[in-house]
Amino acid sequence: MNELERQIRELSLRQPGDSMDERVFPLLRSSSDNAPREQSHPEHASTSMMDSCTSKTFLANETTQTRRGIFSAMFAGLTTALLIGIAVGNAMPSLWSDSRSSTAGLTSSASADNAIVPENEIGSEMPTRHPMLPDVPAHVREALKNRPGVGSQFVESSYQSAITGAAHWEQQNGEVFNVATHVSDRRFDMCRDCHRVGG
Amino acid sequence: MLAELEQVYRQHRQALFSLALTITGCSGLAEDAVHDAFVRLCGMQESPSGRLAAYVYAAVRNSAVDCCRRAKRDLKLAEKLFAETPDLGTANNSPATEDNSARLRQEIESLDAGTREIIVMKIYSELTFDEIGKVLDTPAATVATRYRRALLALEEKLRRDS
Repeated sequence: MNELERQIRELSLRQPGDSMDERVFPLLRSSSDNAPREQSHPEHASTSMMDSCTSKTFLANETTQTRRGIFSAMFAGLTTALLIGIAVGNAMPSLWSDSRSSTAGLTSSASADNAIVPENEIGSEMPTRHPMLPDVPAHVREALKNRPGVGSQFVESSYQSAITGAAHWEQQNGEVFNVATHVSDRRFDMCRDCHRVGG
Repeated sequence: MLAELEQVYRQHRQALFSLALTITGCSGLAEDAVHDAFVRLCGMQESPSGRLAAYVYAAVRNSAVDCCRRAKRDLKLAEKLFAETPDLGTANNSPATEDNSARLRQEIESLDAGTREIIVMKIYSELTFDEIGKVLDTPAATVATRYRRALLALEEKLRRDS
């Protein structure tokens, strides 16, 4: 060690406060794992042992963490709601078609006792159309049967099928419903008011 | 393990605090850094390989860097490394010697933080260059070079001032 190192060594370093010993020695003397965690809690750190800059640090950290937590919770909530909405939205059509098919099955099985079903369908094993539907021109029915996704374009009411909507439209307007220009065409949305009346 | 840690703390508490103070510039944060480091060290299941004191210095340094990073927005690095009280070797010396010590304190505090860390660990903690290199994650040769350059610069400044 040269002269300069000796001089530096003789300089007095700033002493740590007694609070450091008061905080560290209990850690070293306790064998349990829980004691250190309690010591490191911000509430402990904000006691009189801490100086102002340390307190500010902890306050800033607490605020930042709280904000971060709130934003994370909001984001998680919105994401969860979105996922649930997507799942329900995807599941609803299949559930609805299942319920409709089961209802149709029940209706057809009970058709012998039920006067709702037209007579010309009684006795047929596989009904060609829904028994509660009004008469629809054959060309419309055929066109719609092969395109199951177009129902939602006809009516908003989930109780009405595309065939029903088309039939009502024809009854109300006295015109023949042109499948080629309306089905699968977004412009058909303009006719929804009529279909609501029909429904 | 805890007994060994306590021994290291008793022996090096001043230098550990000074190392943390060199990095944080705030005595409160330096105490926090030492405390946080020992919280982690007390939770260790296995003893580290190598000299425990060097490992403790590395832990305190990392903790001080973390504290400094967390407090970056509010912190002003203003507190001095050395005490204002008369130094150990100059308490009974002449005013000229005290003035020389004051200049030396001032010059050391004007060094960059990395060089101050090396001086604290080398002179006050008596770690080897190899151990300091492990603490700083720097080759020992680089540490030695920076240390010698710092001493030469200090000597030059003191000679020029006198």
